Amino acid sequence: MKESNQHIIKVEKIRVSQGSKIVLRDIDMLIEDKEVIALFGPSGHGKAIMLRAFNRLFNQDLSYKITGEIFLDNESTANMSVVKLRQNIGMVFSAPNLFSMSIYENLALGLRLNRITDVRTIHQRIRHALMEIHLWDKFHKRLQEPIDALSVEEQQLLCLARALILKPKVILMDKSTSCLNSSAKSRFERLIFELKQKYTIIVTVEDREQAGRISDKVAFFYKGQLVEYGQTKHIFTHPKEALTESYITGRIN
Amino acid sequence: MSKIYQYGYKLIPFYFVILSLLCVGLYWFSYPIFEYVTLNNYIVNAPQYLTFYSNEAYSGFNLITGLFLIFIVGIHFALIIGGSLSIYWSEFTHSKTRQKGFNLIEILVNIPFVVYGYLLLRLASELMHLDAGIFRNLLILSLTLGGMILPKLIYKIISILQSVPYNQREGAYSLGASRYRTAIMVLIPSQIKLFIAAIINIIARAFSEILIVLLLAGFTTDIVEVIVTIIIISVISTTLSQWLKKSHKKNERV
Repeated sequence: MKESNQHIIKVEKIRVSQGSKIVLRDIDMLIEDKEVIALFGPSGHGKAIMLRAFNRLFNQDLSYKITGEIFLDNESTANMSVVKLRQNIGMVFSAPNLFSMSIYENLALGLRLNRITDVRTIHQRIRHALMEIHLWDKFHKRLQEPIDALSVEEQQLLCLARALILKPKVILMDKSTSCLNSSAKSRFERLIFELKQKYTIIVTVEDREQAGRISDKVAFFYKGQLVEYGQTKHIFTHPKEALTESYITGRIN
Repeated sequence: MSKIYQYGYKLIPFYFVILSLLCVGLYWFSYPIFEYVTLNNYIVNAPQYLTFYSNEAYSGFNLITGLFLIFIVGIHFALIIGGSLSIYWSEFTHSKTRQKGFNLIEILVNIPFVVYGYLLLRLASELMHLDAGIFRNLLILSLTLGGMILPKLIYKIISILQSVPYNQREGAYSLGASRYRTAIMVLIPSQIKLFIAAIINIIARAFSEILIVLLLAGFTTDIVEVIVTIIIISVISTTLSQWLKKSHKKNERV
């Protein structure tokens, strides 16, 4: 019991299936507070599904079934309401998905959906979130502008701000840098490094190099199974499993 | 042509002057009638428009306000029922069911508004026991207007909601929104221009269709004549639209 108190997220025997096909098999993980965890592995082997299992955000049409339990601060997420769960676990997607309204409306929407309608609180939260990602100076006079004129990088950063406004404990990022060019990507990665001081961040990454750059711990997924999970340094230099080694060295893709 | 756009605004005052001159002229020529009736009586009380079903007469004022009232109540009725049905259909159902239902609605949409209008009018007046004065009851008329634009309205709202990519819905869900709140607070506000355009389009089409039928059937209530005219109109309009689509496609290929 004492051990579980240090962990913000505890994953117990998560199994996800779609029809008769099993997508994830019996995953166990312990995630500590204020760390960057990178889920990596070949594409289509269950990283993104694992990420979405944290906030239960599955496409309803694809009818995924999920068994097992995830604990957030020793509280089972299965019993938590979806609103409370997603307030605590924010998410940024692979491409910017702002709504076609003004910047202010976009950022305030998360608060309005959670029934916070006081204008002063909304303004304060927006200011705080934009300052965290160093965009307040750039945007504080442009909040009423539509989002169409913004670049992809700015839009993706605003998506991050939209998630930060709800003051989450955990942030999920589903290949968030895949839409950015190389310089914007490095800026975004630096931002992840800064946000680590306040939030636990779980990311899925496009390649092994990025996992090495940004994460404290990595989890290697292969064919729906968690092959290896541990410190990044350790796994990249002395992997225990042969499968991990062959993926890191590029023998399997 | 671009010069008209550049300097055209300078013509606006002249336009207003001509318009006001026209008004004065019209009043001047029609002045003799006001020797018999006062202006107030002409607008409010004068027996100008006879109804089809009875010998009573109403003034222009009554006609216009009545139409306006019918319009407002009918739109509200249609928006509440059609909006909630289409939000349910596009957000809460499985994609396979949604597709099948969408095909069914597509069949219903191609039937002219007047058919629904006539049936609803008959049904409502039968249910409310108001055979004698069906056209005088504004509630029945507005419910009829609302009911006959329902299939088209549902079809349009579903197609607008479906045109928003799943990506954006996911963004709203990740902020803790339920499906209903996503539709109300995200999808509709971001597509509000399309919604307004669709509603205006539907209302205009409903009115124009009714007027065409009235004109061609010659103000009769004979059901056979009405049906024959509806068939003729629908055949002509479908062939026209098919032809237009084909010609549009030909232009695209070039």
